[in-house]
Amino acid sequence: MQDTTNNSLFEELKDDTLSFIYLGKFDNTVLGFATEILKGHMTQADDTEGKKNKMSFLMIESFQNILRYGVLGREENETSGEIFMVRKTKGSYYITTGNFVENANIGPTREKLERVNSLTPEELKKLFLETLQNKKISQQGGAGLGFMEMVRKTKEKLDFDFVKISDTRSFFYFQIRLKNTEADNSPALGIDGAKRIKTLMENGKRFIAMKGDFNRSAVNPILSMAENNFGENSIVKQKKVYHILVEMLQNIAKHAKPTEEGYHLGLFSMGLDKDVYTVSATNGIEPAKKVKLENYIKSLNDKNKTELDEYYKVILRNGHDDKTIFSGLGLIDIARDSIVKIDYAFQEYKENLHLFSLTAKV
Amino acid sequence: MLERLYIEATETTPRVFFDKEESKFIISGRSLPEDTESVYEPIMDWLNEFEQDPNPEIEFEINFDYYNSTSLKKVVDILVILKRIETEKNSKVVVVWYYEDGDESSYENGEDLCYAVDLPIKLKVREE
Repeated sequence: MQDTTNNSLFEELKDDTLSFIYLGKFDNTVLGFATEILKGHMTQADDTEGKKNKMSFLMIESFQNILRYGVLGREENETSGEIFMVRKTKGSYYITTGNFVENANIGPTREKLERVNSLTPEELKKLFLETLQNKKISQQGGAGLGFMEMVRKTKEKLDFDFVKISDTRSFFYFQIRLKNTEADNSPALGIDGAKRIKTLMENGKRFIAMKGDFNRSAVNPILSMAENNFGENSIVKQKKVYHILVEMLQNIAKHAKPTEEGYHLGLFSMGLDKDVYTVSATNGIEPAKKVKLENYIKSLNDKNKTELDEYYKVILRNGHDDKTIFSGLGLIDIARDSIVKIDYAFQEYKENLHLFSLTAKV
Repeated sequence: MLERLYIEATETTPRVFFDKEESKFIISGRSLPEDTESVYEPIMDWLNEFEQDPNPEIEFEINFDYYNSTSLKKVVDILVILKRIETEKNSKVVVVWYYEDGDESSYENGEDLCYAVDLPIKLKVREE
């Protein structure tokens, strides 16, 4: 069975130079990893200290919004969970969150959001100062200071939507945009995109996905974040997952065809379903490499466990005959660790660029 | 003499160093806790006690890497005490708010604080 989650995500995120999507376990450690990933990516000349601080602030405020409401958690019949996303398109950064809210709380929240969206900068500043001075504010941030600061820092309206789930609960989508250049007039990514991404992730049973330049972006925070979601599995299994992760991420870095901007653009995702981990990596390749790659994976998939172990030893000793494509043991390793045959998919993406996705399960 | 208050920084909470004898009052690092109340409680307790017998000259430094909006609210609570010390105990109070060079919003927050509590606040660029 072909796992097409990565290809679909790639298509949905096609204009992103960085995407980080998270539906896993929510605690403050995730914020640390997300910050690290972002820092690794914000290395352009126009990524000033001020902008980096702003992004950190916006991420923290958005994330704490989820944690604040996150105590609701999900109910038994609800398959979906909270979502946290950071995306960068050519012109703007986006931070998106999604979490459960009680229907009874929607009114006041909507009111606060609509109010900050309707104010002029001067009015907003006035309200902000008044709220700061107000002694009666509840500690859980009920005053909307966070929302006000978000608008003041981004100079953009807050985008949001409430999707009703039941008579008592709804799902609250919230998105902020920080323009990379003031002159960016591209239409904003709407909440609908976030909804589509969430559905893709859930259908593919993924809890994390990242698109970006895997040469520059730190691989370490992804590994740490995956570890954070390992749960109660045996150490042996965790090690296998970790191993496959490393191989896949390095595979992207090594084989991805550089884009015009010189990025080694790739997409990586990971999922968990009934104790089985899915690890999936996608990158662009030259169409000419497709046949060789496909034949090679087929040959690996044709081998049984013993044959793979034998083959591994041979390659370890002698290396590959054809060094134009294969240099290491990555794919053999993945084939040995995976509990199913390596799942792969090619897709024409652009002229002279195919997408190649690789999926393994542990 | 009021004992020195020293709180080690964590990933999400600031380092605090208050020493009445040396006349040092510094909050620095990150302040991003979800629960600001419990994090700031010892700080508020210390300052409430300090208020009874404050130093005649106080230079209070706030030097954050990152902070969230609820922390800003707690800073206001701190400054309100300092303002009281200034008006009721006639101490000379100077607050220094450090901001990252080029970070307008952090600079602006310094101004906001100054306005919110009506205290002179020195805005200084952070040095590495």
